[in-house]
Amino acid sequence: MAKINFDPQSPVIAVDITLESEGGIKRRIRVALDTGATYTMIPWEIAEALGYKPEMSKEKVTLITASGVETAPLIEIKKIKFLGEGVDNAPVVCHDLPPKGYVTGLLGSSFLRHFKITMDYPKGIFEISRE
Amino acid sequence: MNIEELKKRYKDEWLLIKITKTDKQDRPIEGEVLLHSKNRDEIYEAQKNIKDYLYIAYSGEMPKKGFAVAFYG
Repeated sequence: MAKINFDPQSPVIAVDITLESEGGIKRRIRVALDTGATYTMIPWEIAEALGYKPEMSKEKVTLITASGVETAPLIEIKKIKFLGEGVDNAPVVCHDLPPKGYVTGLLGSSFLRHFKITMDYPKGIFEISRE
Repeated sequence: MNIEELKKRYKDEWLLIKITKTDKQDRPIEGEVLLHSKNRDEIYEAQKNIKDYLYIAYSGEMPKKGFAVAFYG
């Protein structure tokens, strides 16, 4: 089991994840831990740097935003790692969050559903483990 | 240089850091700043053709009052 401490007063629980491609390229980015998000979301240009071509993806997802409905490509990343735990062939949506969000993406249910996770908000403790 | 020291040195900026040392969980311990900018898009653009293990982070702190976030996806 791995754990992190977070500030319960913070508007976002920001965590770092590592993305790995088939070609061995790695990027570590700061994302918001979002158990309510269906998919993990990463910036389009990070996906491109890893060697993926989001514009070529046949799979799209619909994003409901405050400003309307958008579609974004869904791709599979070779591996996503978080706190020493990893998911292979992880689906991610390629979409840029606004710059003032302090994070570059989301760590959503498409990753988190592979683990047992517990959150102690009063103490600010997040734990993740395989069953 | 230690990652946390780099964040303090370039406070309230987006950082593109080449990771030079990691721990057992592949978390960055040390690195060197390749670019720092107030503009996140400059960081995204600069990392495009670099094959090294890179860390992209904002070094500022989120305000705790008067700031709320709603994501989607």
